[in-house]
Amino acid sequence: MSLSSVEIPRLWVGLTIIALVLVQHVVAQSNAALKDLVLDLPGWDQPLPSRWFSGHVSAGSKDGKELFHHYILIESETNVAKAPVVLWSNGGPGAASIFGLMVELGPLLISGKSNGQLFRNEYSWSKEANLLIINGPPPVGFSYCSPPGPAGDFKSCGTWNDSTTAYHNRIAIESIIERHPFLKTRDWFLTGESYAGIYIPTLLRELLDNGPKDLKLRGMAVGNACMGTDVLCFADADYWWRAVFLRGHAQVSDASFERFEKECRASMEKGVVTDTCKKKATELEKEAGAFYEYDVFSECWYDGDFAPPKKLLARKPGVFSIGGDEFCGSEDALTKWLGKPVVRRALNVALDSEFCSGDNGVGFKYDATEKDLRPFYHRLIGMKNMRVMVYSGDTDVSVNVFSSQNWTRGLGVKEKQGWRPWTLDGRRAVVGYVTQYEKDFSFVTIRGTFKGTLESMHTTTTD
Amino acid sequence: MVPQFKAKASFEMLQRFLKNEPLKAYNPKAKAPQHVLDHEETKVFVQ
Repeated sequence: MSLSSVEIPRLWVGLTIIALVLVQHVVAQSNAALKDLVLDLPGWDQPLPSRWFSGHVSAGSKDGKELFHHYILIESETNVAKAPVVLWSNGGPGAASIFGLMVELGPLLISGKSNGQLFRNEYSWSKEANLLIINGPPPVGFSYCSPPGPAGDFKSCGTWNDSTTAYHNRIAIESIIERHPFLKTRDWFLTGESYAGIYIPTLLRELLDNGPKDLKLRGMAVGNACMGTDVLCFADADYWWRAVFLRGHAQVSDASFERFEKECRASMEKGVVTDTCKKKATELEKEAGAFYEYDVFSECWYDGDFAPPKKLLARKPGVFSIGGDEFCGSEDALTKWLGKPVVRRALNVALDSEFCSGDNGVGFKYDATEKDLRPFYHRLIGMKNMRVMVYSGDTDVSVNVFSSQNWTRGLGVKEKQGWRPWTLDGRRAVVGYVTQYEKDFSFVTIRGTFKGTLESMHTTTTD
Repeated sequence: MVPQFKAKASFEMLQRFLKNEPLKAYNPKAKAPQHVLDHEETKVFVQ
């Protein structure tokens, strides 16, 4: 009797797990956790680099509905006995963190050009840590509320805001720890990008104030991070920083920028943006022509067609409009992959689940309520055993490097070492800049990247 | 055509952050790596 194509990968997984157990390179997992074990992933015909767990945990109840967060935990590929936990969150609001896992930083990636196959990321964050993603708030990703259950649409869980999101994310984290008790013995670092600049600090605050007292919260790193509606993201000051970015990246003329600056800078620096200045900012952006919000130098935004995708045109135009064919088609490739029944079975997700992922709150009901996170940063910076890093990919327009440098500098923490280049090899190949502040606080940039986790596609794509 | 993600810089950044180590400094006096001097980069690119 020959083995089927489905059985062969499972056999590989079984043999690998036995081998790992024999050399004591796996951590003990509960029976409940083992029900979430991912045996194989369609599109990848080799053993997984380390164990994956995918399933749902309780996140409490809201408005008479039971909430269930979808999580994925990937055990560290190295030093599993001591490796810390890195929690990753995408932003939005409304973006599924499985996008970051499968397109940006996980061990197995998918792209618009990989024909539905997964490929190995040699720089996976799981090589250094137990990598955990949560998709929140429900129904983002494969998370859901009941009623109506996994098949509910993007609005099925009612209205969310920053506080309710943090509260239920915290309950989800506690449920995940209950299912995977070894996590409680590890150092925790919370990370994320874009609107996760709100999700992550508010979750950390919620965990510090109301979470398990013995949880080893050791740090936070946020990239191209929002800061609250009074400061950055859905804030009036965004108009100014976008203009500064476009001028700083030579996308508008000096003359136009100087006229705009002369008329509007003084009021904008005070956080006041008049209708006239909003109009002038929009006019300035027209001078830049088309560009992809999250990577100004992207050449594959529209996949070769410079006409905006229909779904972009259907959205309300505004500061936070977003291009459709993100990452050269990776979003579409991921969505197609997640739509396959074999993938849903592998990830322990109901076959009729609705996969919800959006951006800027479009598609579901979300109110941005966090006004200003700077007081929390002041609380966090200087806490014992707590590191804070704000990083910035320097080609992202929407939450850009100029605004990030401005607010981090504005916190007033004393510099330990001023702006300096950093490298991968200690030689001359500069990959970004770092400003090190006292009390384990730093601001880091990475050249030629959007959101700081991947380098621009057009510079890294080969035939 | 397969995109090659060069996530090395962000991984380096994460590693250093987790270990609380400084990011590697720029050394203006460093010589170019030997493989660059030997034009190995060009060979890789041509492949």
